[in-house]
Amino acid sequence: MSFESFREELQRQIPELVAVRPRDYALSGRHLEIQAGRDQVVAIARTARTVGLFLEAITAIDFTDGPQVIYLFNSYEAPSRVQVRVQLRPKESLATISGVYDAALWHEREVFDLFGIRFDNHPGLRRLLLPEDADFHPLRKEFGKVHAFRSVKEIYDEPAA
Amino acid sequence: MGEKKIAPGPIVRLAVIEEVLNQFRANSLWPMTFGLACCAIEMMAAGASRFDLDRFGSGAFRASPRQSDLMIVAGTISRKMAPTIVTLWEQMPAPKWCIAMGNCAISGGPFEYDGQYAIVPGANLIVPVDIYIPGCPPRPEALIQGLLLLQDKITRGEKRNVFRKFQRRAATPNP
Repeated sequence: MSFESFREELQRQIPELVAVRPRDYALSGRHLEIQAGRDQVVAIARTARTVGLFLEAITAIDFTDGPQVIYLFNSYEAPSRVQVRVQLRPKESLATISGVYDAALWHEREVFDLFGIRFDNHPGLRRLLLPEDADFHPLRKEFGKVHAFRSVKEIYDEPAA
Repeated sequence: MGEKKIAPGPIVRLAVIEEVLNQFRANSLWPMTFGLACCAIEMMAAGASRFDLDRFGSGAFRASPRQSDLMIVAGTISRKMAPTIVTLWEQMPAPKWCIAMGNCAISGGPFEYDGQYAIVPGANLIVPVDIYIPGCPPRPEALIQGLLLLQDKITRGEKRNVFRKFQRRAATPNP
């Protein structure tokens, strides 16, 4: 399925989703950027699944406003990379999309491991890379020497959701 | 006058036998097939035909720790690998020796910095090390020199290194 059909499908499934913007791939590495709320993630993932996108990665960025979880979807038919950004407040959890994409199981465990973001209803949210007895989340900006701990506005010039 | 004092001493004197045994041990060191990172590539090169560790009797890389008497710690020791290495070391029958090969196995190499959480900086923190071979990675010639030094150490009947403990700052995040 093509990229345009994903936009149409997204419009049909989640009409309240407004922040869907095409981006310059050469500059930013993604064709479409979606800013979503934390309750819209599963619906977006389900739509992406129905149009045939696969899950490329789940990662996060730590801001002073709270962590931002980033989902990357892609397909083998360019232009097709979709970035979904979900801004959370500190210590806020997020619904798992492992019911839609099985690949998300380990991706979400990794994000939990390194950032300490909890995913609700994840069947086995354990540490993936670090030792089981580790009591820290090393990719948080508070870990180690603190530098470049900024707000969303400083980086993206847009207010946190 | 009491009874005659008999100087205590061994019935069988083992020192000479021990010297002969040490010759045997030094010239048939069997390393464990075991590599952690890129240093293992150089170790494999040292074992292969061009450098040929068989010339020194140590080309028989054993696939089991129970058959080997030399552990070459070749590579970075990650925090999660450390318990496994200790287990392997404990499974080796004595007498056994250990070589720390490469900067990572000696002191953590480029991965050791204040606040790192991923590696164990130095094989000597988890197992007793006899020979240190610096390099990143060391050439096969360096490994061969280390092996020859270890052979000297064994034939001289030296005591093995005990744990070398030194203080280092704990890898904890800043408050």
